[in-house]
Amino acid sequence: MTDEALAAPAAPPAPPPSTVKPVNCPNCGGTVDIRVAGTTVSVVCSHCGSTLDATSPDLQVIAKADSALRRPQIALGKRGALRGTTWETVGYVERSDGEVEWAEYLLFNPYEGYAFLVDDGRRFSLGRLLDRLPASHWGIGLQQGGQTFTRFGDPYPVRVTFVVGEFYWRVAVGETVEETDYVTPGTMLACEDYAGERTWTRLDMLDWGEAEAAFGIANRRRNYDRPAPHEPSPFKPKLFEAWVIGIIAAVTLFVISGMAGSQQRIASTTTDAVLDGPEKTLVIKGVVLPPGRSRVEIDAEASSLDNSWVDLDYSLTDQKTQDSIDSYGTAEFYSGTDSDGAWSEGDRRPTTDFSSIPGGTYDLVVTLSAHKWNGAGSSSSTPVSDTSLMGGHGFADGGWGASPTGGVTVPVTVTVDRGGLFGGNIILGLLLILIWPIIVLFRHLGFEKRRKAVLSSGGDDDDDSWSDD
Amino acid sequence: MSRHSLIYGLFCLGIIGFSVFAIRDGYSPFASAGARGPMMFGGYGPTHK
Repeated sequence: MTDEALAAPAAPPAPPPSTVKPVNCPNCGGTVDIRVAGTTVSVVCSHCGSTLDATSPDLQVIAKADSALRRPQIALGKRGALRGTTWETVGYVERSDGEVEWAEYLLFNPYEGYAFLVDDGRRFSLGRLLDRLPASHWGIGLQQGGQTFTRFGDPYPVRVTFVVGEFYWRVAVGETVEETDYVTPGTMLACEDYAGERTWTRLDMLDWGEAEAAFGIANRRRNYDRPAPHEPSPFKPKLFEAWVIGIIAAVTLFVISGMAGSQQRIASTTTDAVLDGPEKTLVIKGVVLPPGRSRVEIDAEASSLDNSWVDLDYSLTDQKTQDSIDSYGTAEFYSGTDSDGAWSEGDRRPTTDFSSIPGGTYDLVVTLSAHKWNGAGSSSSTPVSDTSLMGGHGFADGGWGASPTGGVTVPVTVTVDRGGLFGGNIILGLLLILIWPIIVLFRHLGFEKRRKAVLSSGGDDDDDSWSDD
Repeated sequence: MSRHSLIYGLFCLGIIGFSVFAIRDGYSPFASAGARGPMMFGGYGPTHK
């Protein structure tokens, strides 16, 4: 190698020829950049909005703008990478079906061709033209790319309301196509019929913020007020997780409930209560509860009651500390006949539960007061000091009788059990476990209702709106 | 798993923990408690109309 060759600096590589072809708008004289020269058929002047014929050497005006120009949120000429491909925005069109408006950016990549970035005002979808027809799926839908699509409503007209930039087809405000949508969660197949030509476009919904990050615009707030037809429910994954967790929790609850053990009988005795007679006191001694805490259940059964009631007042007294825990129950039964026939009501066997009673030996004092129902004028009896002490098991004669003083008596059997399970706890636990899955289910159903709102009554407003936090 | 599901899972664990405690101690928030009050007398008779 010679010294001259070493000294001479290498010539810098020639800059690549610009792919942008500037021309002047014949309507306003402004400069119009044609970015995809050779492919672009029409271009819309960014200064006056006139639609120009890009295939004509002198850029003939196809249509003059009939409204003031609006600036698209993503500037034309801006480049951004979406799902591994760098796209440049070359055109912008706004379309409307009469009720819903949306915007479409025409994207261009020299290797990939054209694509669409559809903006419904909330989220973006990336659209690519299909080069083969979707297959029919059992005559009720379409199949494409391994996915099954169902038709979303009837065909509807879509009109161009604003356009700027350059396009590979002649587009102007007022151009109307007939569109039919087929959807599956996250993807839409849009079929457009225009002047005897049919085109299919596959629209894949982008994640929140994906297009915004690619083209450097502000992120949009997540809201699900007006979901797109192909928008997947954000509540569906949560719903699945909620039900899985809820079912596991419910099964666990049943399993541990089964470990509670059964009830154990401590005492059972029967006494007579005199209707409208004096109160009677029954004492059941030696109710032994194991260490720790226990549930105590007292059942009173007065099976011969008829149009009468028995007040039962319980006092569970610790023999050691003389601390007492009070509760009560009422056995009652009424029957009669009216214009609708025979009727009856009441509970002849009331159950009273004592919760979490400390271990020890207790005396259960039961005070009974029986009364005959004589209509609205019935009143409680005056207590008198007629008490008897009983221990262990009593008797049951199962019918009405007469007391030594001549009053009508009602046999009442009092039974004491300990242990067992509170059914109310299980029901409460199940209800609490079900709350969240039910809330998520309703949110999911509300989303689906709003998504399909355009199918019924032409897209009526639905005030139920949710934001994903 | 979403944050909501994680919180819900912890909530379910709390429910199960409460149930274990309630079963062990024979506890129920619905158990009868307290003596009959003076206003509780007199409300007898059928409600049938």
